[in-house]
Amino acid sequence: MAITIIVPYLTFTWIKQLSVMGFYIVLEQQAYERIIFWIAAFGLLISGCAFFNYSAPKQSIRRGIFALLQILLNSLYIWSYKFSGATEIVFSIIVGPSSGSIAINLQNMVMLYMGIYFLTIILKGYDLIDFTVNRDKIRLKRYSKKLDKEEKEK
Amino acid sequence: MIFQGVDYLKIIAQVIGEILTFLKPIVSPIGEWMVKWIEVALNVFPTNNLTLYMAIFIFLIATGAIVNAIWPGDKPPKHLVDKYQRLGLYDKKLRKIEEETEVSTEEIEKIDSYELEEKVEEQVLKEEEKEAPLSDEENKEAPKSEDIEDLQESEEEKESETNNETDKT
Repeated sequence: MAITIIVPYLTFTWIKQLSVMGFYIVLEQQAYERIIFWIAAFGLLISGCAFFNYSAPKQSIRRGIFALLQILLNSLYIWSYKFSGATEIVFSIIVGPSSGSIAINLQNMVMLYMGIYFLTIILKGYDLIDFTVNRDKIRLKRYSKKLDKEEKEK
Repeated sequence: MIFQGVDYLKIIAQVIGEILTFLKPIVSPIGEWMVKWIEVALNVFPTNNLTLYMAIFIFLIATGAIVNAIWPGDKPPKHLVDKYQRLGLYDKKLRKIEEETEVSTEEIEKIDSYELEEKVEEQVLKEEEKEAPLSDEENKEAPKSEDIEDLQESEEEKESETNNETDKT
């Protein structure tokens, strides 16, 4: 929740009015409100899936499903930055009477992230198949561990 | 330019630039494919309606808490519970034997339960023999299997002799 919603929100609010070496830089992002909306929307969905994912038992099918869902939503979340125009941030610099602008293109960076997410999706898909096929073995193993723990406690 | 004046920013930008140019031929086609399906998916998601996302979030948290509290996943599968209870495999010793004999769950399903019972009993006997071997005195007192055979033969001979005598009379 902190990573997906609070940190991006604060970052965007912070860079909206940034001062570098005494120069004031103002974020000229027309779709600023839209970025915040997507951050909040996908952030909520990712947080919900993450809660379900991490509270589920290890190597369970439901954990596999929600881990896969989380990664898919993460891809959408990352791409929503591009969708909302956040990958091409335009800053305007005001120095006394003169002014100028800087544009940062983060599209390649986002594409790199997309490649990483693609590999993660494959990995999570494999995990889900593995958990489904070896369901009985995993459950027995988990149960025997629980029994051993109980015996040790006794 | 302001950003080029700061040294560490320059170095970071160069490193990232190198990585991106190196990975571009691999990552770009994957990225393009990802972009296609993501754009389709994003058209489905409603915009300017945050309450829907909040409702989904609350629903996920509530169901996650309830489902994982009721089914924490520390119970064995029901169909295996029946089999294990019938075979008494809850006992630690027997479970240890099962691990040693490497009887997997699939094998348990395949093998007839009676066969498995016999197998487990044999293993238990072997284990008991290993754990509690007879002392020297007990070994001396206890008749050996060869002695038992000799005794049985002499008894049979005696019986046959008595039978012969009765026939003669």
